[in-house]
Amino acid sequence: MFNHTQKPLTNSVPVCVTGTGVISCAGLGADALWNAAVEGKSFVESGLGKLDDDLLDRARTECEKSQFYPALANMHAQLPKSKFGFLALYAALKAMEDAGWDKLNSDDGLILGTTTGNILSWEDDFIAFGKGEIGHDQFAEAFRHEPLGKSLDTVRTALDFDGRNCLVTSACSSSTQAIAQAAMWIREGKAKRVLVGGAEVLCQLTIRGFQSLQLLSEKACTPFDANRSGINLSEGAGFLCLEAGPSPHARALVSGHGFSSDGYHMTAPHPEGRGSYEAMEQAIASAGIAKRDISWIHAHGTGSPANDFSEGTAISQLFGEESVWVSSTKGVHGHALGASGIIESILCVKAIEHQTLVKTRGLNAPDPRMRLKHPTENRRELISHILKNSLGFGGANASLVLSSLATMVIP
Amino acid sequence: MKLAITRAAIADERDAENFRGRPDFRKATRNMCLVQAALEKFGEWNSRGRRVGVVLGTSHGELSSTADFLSELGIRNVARPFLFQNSLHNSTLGFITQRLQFTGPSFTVSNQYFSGERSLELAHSLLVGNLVDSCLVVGVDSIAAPAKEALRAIYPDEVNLGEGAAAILLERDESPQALGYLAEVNCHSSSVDKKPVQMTASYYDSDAIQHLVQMVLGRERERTLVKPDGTSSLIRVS
Repeated sequence: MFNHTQKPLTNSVPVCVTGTGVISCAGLGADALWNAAVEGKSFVESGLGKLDDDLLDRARTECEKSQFYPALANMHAQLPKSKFGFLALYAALKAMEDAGWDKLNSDDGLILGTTTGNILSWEDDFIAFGKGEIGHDQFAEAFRHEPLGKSLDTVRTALDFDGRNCLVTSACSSSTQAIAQAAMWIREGKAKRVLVGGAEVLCQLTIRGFQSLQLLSEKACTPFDANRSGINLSEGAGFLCLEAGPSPHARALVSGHGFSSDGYHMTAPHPEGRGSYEAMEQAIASAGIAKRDISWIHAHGTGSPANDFSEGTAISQLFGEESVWVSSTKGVHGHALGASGIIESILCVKAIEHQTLVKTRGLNAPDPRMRLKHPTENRRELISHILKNSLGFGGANASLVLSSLATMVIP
Repeated sequence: MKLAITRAAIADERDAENFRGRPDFRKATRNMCLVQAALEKFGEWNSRGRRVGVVLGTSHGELSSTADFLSELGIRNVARPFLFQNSLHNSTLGFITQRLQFTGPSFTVSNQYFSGERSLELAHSLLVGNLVDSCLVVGVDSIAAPAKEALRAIYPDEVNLGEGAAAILLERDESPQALGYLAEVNCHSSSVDKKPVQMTASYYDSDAIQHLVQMVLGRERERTLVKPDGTSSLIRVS
């Protein structure tokens, strides 16, 4: 078993997390999400993690009544009408409020990760037009929202931001890649501050698509369980404010990242987790730490038989059997596809702040083919570095190392 | 740091047609065929154990498969798995990395008119950050049916909407094989008076890579790429 240490990081420019904002089926804000994870309470209903109307109404009211937002309103900010745009902007504003950013400056950066973006704005009309139920003009008006880049424009326009920006769309790895890209921008000096996030909405394309692949579970998912029966799609958005450190507002660090491709299959992960192994190994190396320094792996852990086996095998091979705590929180908040990486990274920030790692909800009989070290209860212990994994369709893998401030060395 | 462009190729719809009927491309989309065609035009290249990444820029991604999937769903209430797996924006890259058995970092970027430019910027970060030694940068967009008519709804009438793919290989180190060096990518998205412009040449959203290929092959130093809404980008090669 590894001895977990507080090894200092060697990155020349620390990348500090100074704010978090999130909306998920578990509620509004990072505390609601964290409390749900700690309590092991699932917000998945009928197999989906859907945001209910009451939650959305509360979020809108919160935006309208906040003392923080008038400053943004003066910059022509308006709450978007589309669900995707609203979720993204809500999470972005909450992160900025948390970090004390009253606006984005032209030398800041903005990165968004998503899989389907603003698809709800045109999906129904596309189908209706194909069936001859609506005319061309109505269809054309809706279809103007189709380009994925317009999803980013919704946030950009609302924040009156015209600086460096990017939209990353690598399926379930999207926002994990986005966080890594933001860290790269800061380390390269392309931006001192980056607002980075992810957002996803439930839509027919993904619900019926995953259903066609027989990957959906009707019950709350049970990652790494021998009897796991599939994934729970969900929706939500999360944003992080990242700044070049040191920063007095820092709460955690983005200290490493790794990427790989399976080069194996369009939807199935490599059975031995070759790509995931590579991404984790790179992330640890780029943080300048050793495997034994990892306190917890917040796994991608979707509850899909193939995905969990691939990732679990990669973890076993890289770390050795039962050597590092591994769990997944998707049984609590579901799988928000392109937004899952950022939502779960926010949970990792909370875990670092609380020095607590959480167990996998619903894991009763661990799959014996993967000899992983699963916590059977939440554990309060020294957490220096967390490894966050994402595995995406198309074989796109990404891993992050998120670290406690105690590991930061002032350059 | 100089970034050398050591390979460059462009593929058009005729190149994509060459894949029609090939068994291994039976389920491939137009975007997948276009990208494969561009990469085959690279000719043989040996990565010599170098760490290679790939960044693909596309505005509409696999819209044709999405359209097919939604049409089948709407009319017949049938969800077809292979249409779904081809429908995501990063499906093109998933297909290509699978064909090439490529295991390096892969990113798909989608920034509408600036999809190509943002891909170049991301490749720059991967190279400068020493995550890769070489990076393929690909720009692809297509107008295959059934999305063709739908796409016209997005663009002003003045735009001559086309399709294509282009690919370059960027390398961190200076190379005697360099066709040119990528000097600057600068996007100007804040036009005060954004209005549609007349575009006579065939255009697709991620065509910045195609322009870059034309520049290095034609020994052209600088190009300003005007976008359908009047914004622009500047690409410089040295």
